[in-house]
Order: sequence, then C-alpha cells, then structure tokens
Amino acid sequence: MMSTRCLSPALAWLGALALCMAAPSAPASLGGNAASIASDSTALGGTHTIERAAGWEVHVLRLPFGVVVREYLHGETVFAVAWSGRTLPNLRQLLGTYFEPYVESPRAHGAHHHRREVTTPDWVVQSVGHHGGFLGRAWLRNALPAGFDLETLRAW
Amino acid sequence: MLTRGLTVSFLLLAACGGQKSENGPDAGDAGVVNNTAPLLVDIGPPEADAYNTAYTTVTICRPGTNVCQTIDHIQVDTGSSGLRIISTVLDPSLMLPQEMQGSSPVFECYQYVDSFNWGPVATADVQFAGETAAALPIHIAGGTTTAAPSDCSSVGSEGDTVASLGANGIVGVDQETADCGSDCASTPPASPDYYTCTGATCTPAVVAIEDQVTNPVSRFAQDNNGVVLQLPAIDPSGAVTVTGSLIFGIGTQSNNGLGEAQILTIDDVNGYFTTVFNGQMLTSSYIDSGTDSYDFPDSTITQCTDDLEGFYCPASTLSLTATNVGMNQVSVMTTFSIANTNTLFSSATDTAFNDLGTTALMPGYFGWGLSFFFGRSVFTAITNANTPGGPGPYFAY
Repeated sequence: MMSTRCLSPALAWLGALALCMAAPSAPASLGGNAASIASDSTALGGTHTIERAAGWEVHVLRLPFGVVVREYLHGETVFAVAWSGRTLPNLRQLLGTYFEPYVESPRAHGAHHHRREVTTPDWVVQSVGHHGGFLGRAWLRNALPAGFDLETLRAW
Repeated sequence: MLTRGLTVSFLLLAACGGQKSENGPDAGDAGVVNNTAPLLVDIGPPEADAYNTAYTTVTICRPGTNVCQTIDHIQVDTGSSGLRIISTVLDPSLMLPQEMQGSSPVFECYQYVDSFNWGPVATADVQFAGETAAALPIHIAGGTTTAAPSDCSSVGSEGDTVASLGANGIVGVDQETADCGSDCASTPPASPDYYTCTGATCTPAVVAIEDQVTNPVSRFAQDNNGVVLQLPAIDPSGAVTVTGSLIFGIGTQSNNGLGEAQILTIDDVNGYFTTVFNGQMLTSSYIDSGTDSYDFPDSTITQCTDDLEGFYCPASTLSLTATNVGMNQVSVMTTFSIANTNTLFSSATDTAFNDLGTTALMPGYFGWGLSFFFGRSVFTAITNANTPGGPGPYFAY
C-alpha cells in the first residue's frame, strides 16, 4: 500500500511560518506511533510516502528545505528515525521526549560542533556534518525488531 | 526593500580578546598585498579549553571608518562560510550598522550539528592580514533578547558564548560564497536561516545573495579565489602550540601555488567526495578544519572507554591508508596514523594532535578533520572561481 500526500509550496511556506511563530505541540515520533508520524508530516510539511520492508514500514518524509526524514514503524511503535539534508529537521518534533535529554546531555570533550552522540541504555542519538550537509539518526535499543540491521538505518 | 545605514548599538560588554584601535585598514598599496594571516593551534580563549582547533585574527571596522577592533582566536573552518563573532567580545563603541529590510532588522539562525548561532546580521569592513572585504555582511552571535524561532532552534542548544563555540568567533572559508545562497534568496525561502523580527515576532525572510553572511575571501579585491591552510608537521605525541599560515588566494602570489597538490572536485550541493577505505565506499566524505579528528568507520580498532567513548585507543599507533576520489575521478592515496587517545590526552598541555581518531557515528562517510592538516598545505577553491587548477569547487592537497 502506498499513500502519498503532497503539500503545495505555498502551504509549506505557511507551515514554515506557523512553525516559526508557535512551537509545535503535536506528539512527536521517536517512540510514537503511526498517528504521530502523520502529525510530524503535518507539522514539518512536505510529502509522505511509505516503503514496506520485512516486518516494518519506513515512512519517508520529504520536507520543504530539502531534508529527508525516514521514520521506522514496527507494530505500533516508531523505533527509529534518520535524517539528511542541507539543514537539520526540527529535532524537537522528531525526537519528542528524547530531545531535551539529548540536548542537555553533557559534552565529553572540546567544543567541536560537527559531531554529537548521546548513548543511554534505552536510546541512542547520533548526528554529524556541517552547514549544508547534515546526517543523523536515533533509535530505541529495546524496540528494534528482529532482523533489523542498524547499517540500513540511514536517510542518505 | 533592503536599506542599510541605520546604526544600532548592540548592548554588549567589552571583553578580553579584542582591542579597539583607531588604525583602520590600509588604503591598500597597488600590487602585492600581505596575503598571509596567522594560523594558530592552541588552547583557545579563556574558557574554551580547546584542542585541534585552528585560529586566526581578524580586524573589523565600522564601514568606511577607522573605528576598528582586532579580535584573536577566530576559528578557521573549511566546513562553513562567513564570519560570525560572539557578541560579548565586540566593543560596543564599534556600533556596526545592522542590516535592515525596511524598518525590520535582519537576523540569522545558523545551525551546527548540536547547536546554533542566533543573532543580527551587521556589516563591517573585515580585514585579514593585508586583505579587506568592505561592507561585508557578518553574523553577530547572541547580542539580542529576541528568541530564536523554533523552526531553527529545535536542533540543539544556543551556542552564542565563547565557551560554547570554543572561540571568539568563526570564519568559514569553504567553497561557498554566501552562506545560504539561492535557497534563502528565493520566494518563499527554501532554508530556515534568515528572519526579520519586529519586537519578539520573527518571520522567515528572503535575503538577496549579496546581503547574506558571506565568505570574506570572496569579497577581497585580490587573492579571492580560495585559501590555503598550512600547518607544519608535528610530533606524533602532540604539541602545545602550533603556528602556521592562512594564505589567501590560489596561484595568485609566489606563496600560494598548487605545486604538486592534487585536485579533488566536490559535489556542489553538499561538498562531499568519496573516500575508499578498507573496501568501503564512503560517498559522503569531506575535509573539514572544524572537525577535530580523523572521523571514520573501522570496527577493528579498539575504542576508548568512559568519557573518551567514541575515540580510538589502539594498543600501539596504527599506520593506515585511504584513497580519496574527487567528482573528477582523481584519486589520491593518503596515509594517516591513529594513536591511543588516552595517551595523547594524558598530556596536560598539548592541544595539537596529528593522529587523533574517532569512530564514525554512522555508515557512509570519512571526515578528514584537523589532524589531517598538519604537515600539509590544504587548498579550498571557491565555486566558479578561476584558479590555475581550474574552477572551484574543489579541495587540493
């Protein structure tokens, strides 16, 4: 089953304006469900397609700023997300309850801002790159379906 | 409509790291100018506690005047474009004119992987060594009580302090000219970088390319087709300070010829080339002086533990080889060493390491960070600029 939803550039522009003026309040995706992917899609704008794999679905969001987000859904749980693009997606939206602990997590060494990893017993966030080229991903360690290969968790 | 010339005094504290002078840039002798600025690797400004970070010194002046300030410890970054200064190091009496659209000031939100810089765009005459970029749009990081729009700020923490940036400012000298380009000049903008703010309300703004925060090199009167980062070779155990050169221009003077350097052209969207390492095709690879280490995937190398998790800690130093392949299909075999990070960091004073490695966080890339730059001349050629090696964008070494 393939569902596609497109927003016109004008609507995406309005969406960007709305995002700019008010913080998104929709439930966010990592750890969320199919409904939260839909609300991500609405909040972030762009198009939404679904790829089916053995045992899970990959929801591909193509966002207005050339950003690609892939959300991995198994059963009722988004167990992983990945992103790439010239700019970063709205990680507060995408990481949801994991965003604040990710941001607040202490930095190990130095002040280099081209690489960031936060690892906990329950979840991992990894992000690298520079302005004009960002790559990143996050996953819930205990929610990975059998047979899922982290090497395939990427949006680039 | 864009208007300039309204002078807004940033409410800032004078701080260390800068000194105000009444000596503006020289009018500029006809002919050869000094195209060599210092390139220094050290512990950084107070609170930075930096390592593998390369700095230079800039003089910024109120446009068309001799009211200037010299600021040291500006990080040199081949992975971004444009000059950003932490607002607290600016002398308030500089009174740089803020960029305006009508009666609304222009702000920028500039993203890094884990943080962002937010603040107004101002214009300044910007001088490195004998080179000047007149009325250059620059980014004042911080210096505003207006909150950053969530569309941009929802990537991490605000990084508008010297401690957070690890520098008094940063100068991006990558292959780009404007830091956003046509994405921010189109209607509606295709990137969430620029805003105009009225009171506390900010809305996305269309900003013409020439009014965006811009790589100063591209605005020099000469030596404006790229840069060379030159750092001397250092001892594998590390060095306390390293002094080299940030040279402007490629093949424009006797000190910046390509020589034997090989040219790797890059993809003009993301700046990537391909690194082939251990049979892996790493197609999102880059050379970046703003990254500290060799950042690459090798599951056979022992990783460090505890607070050095992510760094490599081999029992003895490894000599490795990778091949970099440009979009032009030129291949450059490159050897590098990876030492034990625990051992390197056991020095209380060393800040420069040519053999520091980190494990790539995800598949598909090799980041050639500052470790790679020691003992080399690394060239970055600006997109569409003519050089003796052909037009940019490219890296060469």
